[in-house]
Amino acid sequence: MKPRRLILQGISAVALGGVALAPILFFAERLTLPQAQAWLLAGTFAWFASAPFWMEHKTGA
Amino acid sequence: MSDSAQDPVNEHEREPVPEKARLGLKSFVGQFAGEHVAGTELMIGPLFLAAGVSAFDFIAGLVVGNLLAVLSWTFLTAPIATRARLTLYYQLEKICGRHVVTLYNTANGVMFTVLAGAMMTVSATALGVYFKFAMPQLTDTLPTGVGWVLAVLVTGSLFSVVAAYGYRFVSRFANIAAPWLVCMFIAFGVIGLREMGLTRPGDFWHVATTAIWTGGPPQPGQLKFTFWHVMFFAWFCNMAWHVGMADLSIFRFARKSWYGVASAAGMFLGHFMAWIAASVLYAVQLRQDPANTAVLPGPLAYNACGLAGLIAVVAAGWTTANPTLYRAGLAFQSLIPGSSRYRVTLVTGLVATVTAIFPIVTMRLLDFVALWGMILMPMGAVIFMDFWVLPRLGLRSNFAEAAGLHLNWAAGLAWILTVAACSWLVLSGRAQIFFVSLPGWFLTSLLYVVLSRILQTRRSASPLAAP
Repeated sequence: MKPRRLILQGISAVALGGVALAPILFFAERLTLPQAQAWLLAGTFAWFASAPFWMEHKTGA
Repeated sequence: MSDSAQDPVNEHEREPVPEKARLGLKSFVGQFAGEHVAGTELMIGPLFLAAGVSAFDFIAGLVVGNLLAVLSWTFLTAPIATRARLTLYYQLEKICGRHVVTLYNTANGVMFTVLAGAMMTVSATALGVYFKFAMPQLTDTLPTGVGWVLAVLVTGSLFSVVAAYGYRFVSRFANIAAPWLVCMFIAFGVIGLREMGLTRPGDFWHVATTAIWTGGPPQPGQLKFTFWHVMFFAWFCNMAWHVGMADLSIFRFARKSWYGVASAAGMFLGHFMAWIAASVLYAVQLRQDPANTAVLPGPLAYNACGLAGLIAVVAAGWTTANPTLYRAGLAFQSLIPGSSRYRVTLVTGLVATVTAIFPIVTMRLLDFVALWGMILMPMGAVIFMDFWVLPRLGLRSNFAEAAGLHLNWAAGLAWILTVAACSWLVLSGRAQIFFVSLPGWFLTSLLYVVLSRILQTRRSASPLAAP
């Protein structure tokens, strides 16, 4: 696997992890709501900036 | 809600799917999981709460209803799909003749157009958060002002142009967005639950019964929902796809018929988790302002997740409207041979945009989805009886093809009479729309068998042909 692809996949994983983790940290009162929303937005941008470059386009079944 | 097949299936349209083109279980799990976390979920979840459902009725109804939906795909759709391996349209043409397929395409095209309009409405509510124009309330049927009309026109025009010219781009975007969208729906639910006062997962049921789905009276203009409403809605909201057999076109690629269980990924992510999450967002809004009963996905998502929530609303609406408009265009294009798909899709998008201006469909989305299932379900009953029962009664399957008919009136009449009977039950107030489709299926089955015997006896067709 090419290093560039690995890096992009790593960024995507971190981004999606951030989106998944933000509400949990808010639930556990480790983040305020504005902070959680900022995490979600950052994760969203990072996901869409990285995922298109490695995700394959699957045609419908 | 389903948007089966993000991409059009153009292969093997007039022949059984060959061995080499068949797909494994993973393909179907991914497809269902991605497609059932859609823009419609953002409307449907809150509408359950607006219907005054209680926590037990909601959760238990969703579990049972979604399970029945999975079983319908597994035991009704997939077994026929993996034996015949034909598209729904080709199978219908062989059974019913071209004229019935034309009628089916017309009905399907109209329904897809209206659904696309509802998705434009959903996305337009995201614009309202920033531009502060008056947005429709739960009881509104007419546009609420110039700002709303302009927002829908802009959203609808963009969606229509992209569906006509950039379908592939949005299809790819939908695939990329799917995992993120699932996470965003989880975020809606978790943040919403915390906002409702839940501090420990163990207190979920207490908060659910006392603060979220308290089972009070429905909002004005809404029907009171019980366990049975939720169960039948969850089971039948994709009725056209499973009982109605539209997903023959999908499962004809499955190596095994039990791959129908893959639908559980869509049902329990989209029609369980996402509906609950969207419902919780509406509960947060009602808690903050009990007088604000409007079901507007834009503000609901923004309150919980900020700008990322708004992006999720637009993305969910867009990625649902895009294949929906595309399919509506294909359905109408088939009625006008030689017409340009681009032009037909653009015109369809324009019509969808006009319907989106009027919020009645979106605010009554539960009824609309039930109506869709009721109208298209009879064709599934016809296919089921034609495939399994007719040969056992000494009658011929695929009679239109065998007899060279353009119209198998046994199928056409069974369909029309069933829809007429169900409509009469609903319009006369004898039954609610959520409950007529199940007896309707049995009525179509009976009518089709009886009418087929009359038709085939009259035409002296040879009584053989196994499916």
